This record gives sequence, C-alpha cells and structure tokens, in this order.
Amino acid sequence: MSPRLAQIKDQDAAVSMLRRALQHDKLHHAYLFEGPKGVGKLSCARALAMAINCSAGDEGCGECIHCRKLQKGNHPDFLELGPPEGKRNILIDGVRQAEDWIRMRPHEGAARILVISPADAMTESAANALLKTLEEPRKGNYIILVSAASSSLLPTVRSRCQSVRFRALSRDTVRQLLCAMGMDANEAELLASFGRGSMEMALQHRSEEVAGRIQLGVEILEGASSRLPVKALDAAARLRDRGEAIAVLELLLMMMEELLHARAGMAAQSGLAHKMGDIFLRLQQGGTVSSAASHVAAINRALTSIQRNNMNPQLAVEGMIMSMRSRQKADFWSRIGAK
Amino acid sequence: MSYLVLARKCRPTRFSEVVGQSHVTQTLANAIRMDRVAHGFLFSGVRGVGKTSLARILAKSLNCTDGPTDNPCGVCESCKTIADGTAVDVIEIDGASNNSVEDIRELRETVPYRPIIGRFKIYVIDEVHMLSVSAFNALLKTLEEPPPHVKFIFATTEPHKIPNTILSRIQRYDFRRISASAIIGRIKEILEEEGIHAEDAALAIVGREADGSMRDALSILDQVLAAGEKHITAEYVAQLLGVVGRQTYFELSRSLIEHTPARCLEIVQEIDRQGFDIPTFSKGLLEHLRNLVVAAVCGDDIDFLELPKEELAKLRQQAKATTNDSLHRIFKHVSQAHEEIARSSFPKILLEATLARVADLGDLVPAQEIVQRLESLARQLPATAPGGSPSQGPEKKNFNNPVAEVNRPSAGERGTAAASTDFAAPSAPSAHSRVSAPPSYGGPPSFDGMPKSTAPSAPPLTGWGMSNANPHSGPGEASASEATAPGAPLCKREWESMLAQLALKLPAKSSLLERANFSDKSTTSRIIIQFDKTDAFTAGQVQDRGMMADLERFFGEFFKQPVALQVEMCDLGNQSTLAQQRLKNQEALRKMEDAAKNHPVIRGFESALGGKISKVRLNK
Repeated sequence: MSPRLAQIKDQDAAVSMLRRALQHDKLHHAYLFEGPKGVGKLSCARALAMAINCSAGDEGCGECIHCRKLQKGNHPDFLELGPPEGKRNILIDGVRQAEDWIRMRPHEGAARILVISPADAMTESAANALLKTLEEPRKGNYIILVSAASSSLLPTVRSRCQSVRFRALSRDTVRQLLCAMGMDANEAELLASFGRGSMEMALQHRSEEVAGRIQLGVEILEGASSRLPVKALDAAARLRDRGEAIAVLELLLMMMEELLHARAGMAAQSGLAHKMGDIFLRLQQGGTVSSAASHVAAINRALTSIQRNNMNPQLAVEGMIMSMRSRQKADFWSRIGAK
Repeated sequence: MSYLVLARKCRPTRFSEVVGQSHVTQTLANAIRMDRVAHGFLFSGVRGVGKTSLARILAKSLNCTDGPTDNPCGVCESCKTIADGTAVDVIEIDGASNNSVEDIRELRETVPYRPIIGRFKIYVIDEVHMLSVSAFNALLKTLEEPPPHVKFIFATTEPHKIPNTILSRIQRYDFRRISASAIIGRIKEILEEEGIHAEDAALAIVGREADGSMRDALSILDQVLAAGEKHITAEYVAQLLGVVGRQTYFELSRSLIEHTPARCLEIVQEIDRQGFDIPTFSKGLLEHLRNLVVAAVCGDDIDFLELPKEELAKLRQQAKATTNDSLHRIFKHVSQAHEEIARSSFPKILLEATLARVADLGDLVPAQEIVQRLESLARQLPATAPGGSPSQGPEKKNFNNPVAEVNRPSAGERGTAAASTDFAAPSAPSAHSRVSAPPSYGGPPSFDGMPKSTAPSAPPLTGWGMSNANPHSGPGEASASEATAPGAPLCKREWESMLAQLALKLPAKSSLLERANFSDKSTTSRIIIQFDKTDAFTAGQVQDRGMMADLERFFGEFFKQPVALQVEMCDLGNQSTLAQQRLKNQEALRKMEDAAKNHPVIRGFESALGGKISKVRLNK
C-alpha cells in the first residue's frame, strides 16, 4: 500500500513544493527526486502519481478507481522502470520501451507517469536515449527520476529535470515506522539508530546479526593495529559473501564516525557506542582523530571497490587492513620524530 | 491542465534572442545573409546553452517562406510547423535512441527525395555522440556530398566522441557557457513578463547555481515560481535550493586553517542537523576554498570573483592567515575527497573524516622559506665557528675514515666465506695469504654451509688440482688448501676464515672462540687456543669434553686432517680477539655518528628546521 502525499513523513520541503506546484498547475514535466536511500522518494513518486490522476481532485483520495489501481500497482497509466530481473543496470531497451509508452496519450487517467528508479542505474547509452524524451515529453505526461546517487547521473539528464531534494528521516520517524511494521520497541530503537534516517539502512541491520558484525568489525580494527595482523586477516577471510562484507564495512564506517566524534570530544550520536560499551572506550583511546579519519578513507575505498567495481570482498578488506597498518606505521614514525 | 515549463516556453525563436552565443549567431546570420550556408553543422557545448534551440532557429531561417533569412518570421506555415515539431521537411532525430547503422541507412534512403513544402530538407540529429562507429561511417559519403536541398545539423555535449572524418566534413560551432550576469539578465526579463519581483541576491543565487546553463537556470526558476509568490527573497531561494550561508563556509575554512578538527566536525554536524544536502555542501565548500586560493595567489586583485565587497575583504584576510602552500593542500585534499563524497552513500562520514584529517595536518613551510633560513644560517656560520676550514677538516676526515674502515674487511675478504658473514674484522690486506701459497693437491674444502661465493673458483681447482694456476682463487681459499700439508703453522687468515665457517655451522661455539686467540705455536694439526686469564669462565665452557670433541671434528673437516685442540690460559693483553675487534668497530661507528650529529652544519639544520636527527646512516 503506497501512502498518499499527506502521509509522506519528514519531507515537508519536498511535499509542500510538489503540493504548491499541483495547486498552481505548475508541475514540471520531469522531476528528479534525489536524497539518501530509503527516505520515501519512491513512495512520494507514487503518491504524486495518485495526486495527479485522482478523479476526486486534489491529493489522491485513496477511494476512487484511479487511486485504488495505483495503490495496487495496476494502473495502465503508471509505469515503474527498474533494472530487469537479476541485473544491476537499466538497459537501453528498457528505456526505449518506456519512451514509446510515455509518447502515448493516457489510457484512462489524466496523465501518464513514468517513474525510473533508481535512475542512476541507467547505463550511459540508456540515459542518453532518454534525453530527448526527458526534455520534451508528450504534453501532459510526466517523468520522475528517483536516485540516491544523483551526482553520478549525466549532467545533461540532471539539467532537464527539476530537482526535489529529500532528506534523512528523523530517528523517531524511523522508529515509529519500524514499530508499525510490527517490530519490538527495543529492537526498533536500536535499528533506528543504525538507520541514520533511512528505512532501507535500518532494515539492513537486523539485531541478531548486528552483534556478530560489530564483533567482526572490532576484530578488524584491533587486529589491524596489533603487531601481527593475523586476527584481522582471519576476520577478512570470513567476509567472502558480498552482501555481508558490505554490511560489515558499513557498520565499520558508522563505528569510525562515532570514534572520530569521540576522539574529537563530541557526544555520542547513535546507540552503537552504547551497545559496544568498554570495547568502544578501548578503541577510542587506541588512536588519534587523524588516524580515525584515514581509516574512514580506507574503509570507504574498500566499500567502493566492492560495490562499484565488483572486487572480491575478501581481497578488498585485506587491502583495507594493510592500508590501515601502513597509516599506523606512518603515525608511529611521526610520533617518534616529534619526541 | 498541463503547464509548459519555462525552459520550453522561453526557447529563443530568433538569432537575437539566443543569450551569450553571439559568436555563433553572428556567424550563422551572416552566412545566411551572404548565401554561404554550409551543408553540415556541429553544435557542441555543455548542457542548456542553446544548441537544440539554435538548430531549430537555423532550420526556420532556411525554410521560412520569406526566403532564407536571418530573421525568420515565426508566423508562416513553415516556421509554425517547425516550432511545434510537425514540419515534414525538418527531421529531428534522437541520435541516442536511433544510434545503429540500420537507423542511419534508413535515413540515407530518404535523403535523395526533394523537400515536400520547404526549400531544404533539414536533418537535425541531437545527441549525435551516441551514434555507433559504423553509423558514423555510414554517414560519411552522404555528409561529404549531399544533394543541394539537404542540410545536416548535429548537436552534442561531447564533441570528442565524434570521429575526425565526420568533423572535417562539417562546420563546427562551440557554444560557450553562459556567464552568470547574462543568465541573471535573461531571468530578469522573464520575471518582468510574469509580473514577479525578485531580490538581486536571490537572482545571484540562481545565477550561481545554474553553473553556466540557461536551462538549469530556468528549471531553478520554475522551482522558485512554483510557490506562486509574487516577491522572491534570497532567503527563500537559498532554503529551497539547499544553499548553505556563506558565513558557514568562512567559519569552516577558518577552523581548517587554524587546525581545529573538533570545530570542523561540529559545523558539519550542525549542517547535517539542519537538513542540508552534504554533497551540495561539499561542492560549495570546494568553491569557497577555490576562492581562498585565488585570493591567496592574486592578492588584492580579486574583484573578478563576482562576490560582494565584504566577502572579498574576508577572503583576503583569511588567505593571509596561512601560507599559500597550506591553502593549496587543503584545496587538494577536499577536491580529491569531493568526488567520493558525492558518490558515496555515507557522504557525511567522508566529509567529516576529510576535514578532520586536513585540519590535523601541520602547517606547510614553503621550500623557498627553508632555503632562505638555510642561507641565513650559512651566513652566520663563520661567526660561530671561526676559521670554517680547520673545524671542518677533521670532521671530514672523520666522515671518510670510518667509511673506509667499514669497507675494508669486506673488500679484503671478497670471495671468501667470511665475506658473507656480517662480522666486520678489519684485517691487513692479503700480505701473508700470498706468502702461504705453495701448490697443493686435493680439492678445496667443502662444507654444507659453504657460501656460494667460493663456487666460481672451485671448478679449475678440481680440474687441475692446482690452486696457484687459478688467478681468481681468493686468499682464504689458498690458505685453506695449503693447510692440508701436515703441521704447517696456522696463520691469522686461516683462523679467521675458520671461525667464519664455524659461525655459519655452529654459531654458539664460534661466539665462544671469538673471545680467544690462537697461539703462535699452533699448526694446522695442533691448535692451541688462548684465553685471557680473566676469562676462565669461557675457557671452562670450551674445555667441556663434548665441546672439545665437536670442535676437533669441525677443525678436522676444515683442514682435511685430524686436529688436536688444546686450551691455554695466558695474558692476552693487547692481543686482539675477534670479539674485541668487533667492539672496537662498534665504538668507532658510534663515534662517527656522534661526530656527524654534532657537526655545526647539522646542528644548524636542526635548529633552522626545528627537527631532530633520528638516525644516521653510514654510506659505503
């Protein structure tokens, strides 16, 4: 059940902008919904489609035939284009079909609405193929691009869209949404703090898995700073699964952020430090602001090579450990030099 | 109900309406007026600067009922149909969607037919860079010599992807980015038409955010106007576009310059709390840092930055607070990280880490300044150390001597077992090894632990049994083979090479013997080992029965004959054992290091650069 425009949480700026455009009949023919993942961009695109097509007028009543069809996902004038099954990219064929589709007059509603999500998954040729349609679609039809990595879109695509920025949800909202999904209150609280304002991220770290991932992360961090990195490399050897490796590295990044803040003397933000307890204190005293910062860079590099370049996760993590170590060595020598 | 966005509504329809591309419009208008219109054009430039618009204007100009004109009427049938995209003679093709060679072949088939209504048949291929290589090649012949009634107009943002063979057949026009002031001027006109008033500062933000593209500017304007307000303030625009106040950037750059990482983190935290987009913020920061670098490099002459006066003053002030090199470095780090920040799903952490690391770096001292400090130091030197040369003389000698000392053993013992062990016993050059070189039979001594360095000299020896015949045979070699003669007196060279062998095979035992010397009366069959009488403990260890037996067996193998060992206690006095020599060597090295460290020049370096000598390395 997709929510109505009024039910989109925490996106007041975006929603009110769209509402005003609806009221003044000034909807742009192409929107780019950009912002962190899992904050309601796609839901909002569906809600906008409802608002445009609703036969009862303003914001999508949820009762009329159009609203109900849209909510069920079987409205003939609404198309969601995503990567084909088992693929990571939206290919040119998909875009061409969608272009043919949006060139038509609406079948029964007021307008055809094409949603491309995630828009950054379009290959270069697919994105280029979209350009002409994106600039001048059939009068009255709308295209909405949804992207959590909008800066990797072609500038020519960006320039043809009106951008609508979505922001991270508040922790409270994430907690409430998790509770509404039937989650236990304590678990919802913890996951909300991991989620950093994103439902998708919150759901990625189920609490029964979190403890193990924290453990692995700590082993990597401590192992990397010990004389022999056996423990860390051992941990890396356990990260053969791509999804798991990404989850652990993401958790590690959050951990490093907390450490960075703690070492700079700032208050803890998430429940992570609290959950880790003494271990966190130990890690906090085990390095400087600067070393935490360079660890962040190393972790991000590994994460990027796994996510974007499809590198073997174990290799990526091993490389990360080694670069953490070389940084520590540099730190050590600069300390000796300073004395 | 549908609303036509400004970017489409305000598409220019005459050459004179195209903003900021006078170099193109002027040329094209003149070409039409003088009837010198080429048959192929390429319009290239960044997004939203008027390529497609100008292609349509050109098409109208050529096909307008009033004859080819540089000022199309806009009311005739041809102009109207081109404007709403239904003209039969103007074929606008999406090059990205129709990029295959089949598409181009289809196009070519239609080329020979004359236009239906207008004067020319005009093919506009937009996004032409996406054509495949074979599609481009299929076009070549047609493009070189099209029928007189055909014109081609290509538009692209990426002209570098177009083959040279195509480029050479058409006229290329590069469109410029549109300056902020030109964009602002155009926006003002549009707003006047719409009857809306806007603050200058608000327009300035739109102009800056548009980044050289008119379409971007109009999209932003649409977004601003969507609110339906009649009076637009800068504050409203900044909030709508998520533009962070300049004050924040200044504060952040100050904490970078003043090395306060914690403050940087606080600022980012605050920005995040207020819901600003971190990649956008990072881009803004990068621009601000760029302005700072410009201010540092250009000094007072930075009015071209198009910023308010008070901001320019602040820029200058901040730029003066640190060195240019430090600013460059801050910029470099942030710009390197920006790409990652923009693409990552954790932009905040990355930005924080980058800022924390940059703020934590020490100030850079320009190399020039270091040279200056050194020069001033050099000028002071004669004053502190009168008569520079005498004080430098001994130092220099000190530098050279130890180096030679370290060198000598390995040079003297090249090719022997001792050379590969690391104990550095200075020994007299091969004087007595030459003496002890009568011809000998029997192969060279071979042990398991024998280093390879003896191997090159081995084959001739075994082949001829004549060590003397081999000019390469090292001194140690010669003495060892000579020693097979029973009862020959033991020489120092043999003793040392034997200990070296022992050190390889039985290191524990060799360390004991290193504290001893051998008696003059020793022969190769009867070795008398002398210990200092103060060293009875070591002597006692050697005299242990098992130990003596081991050593005798080892020496026996070395000399290829039974050897009897005997231990003697005496006053070695000044007679040097290997252990003592090693100590002496170490002492000499230490002295040399001290001398290097205390040299006035080095001292000068230390104080001038504020560093400390952590390690002295001796070169060979």
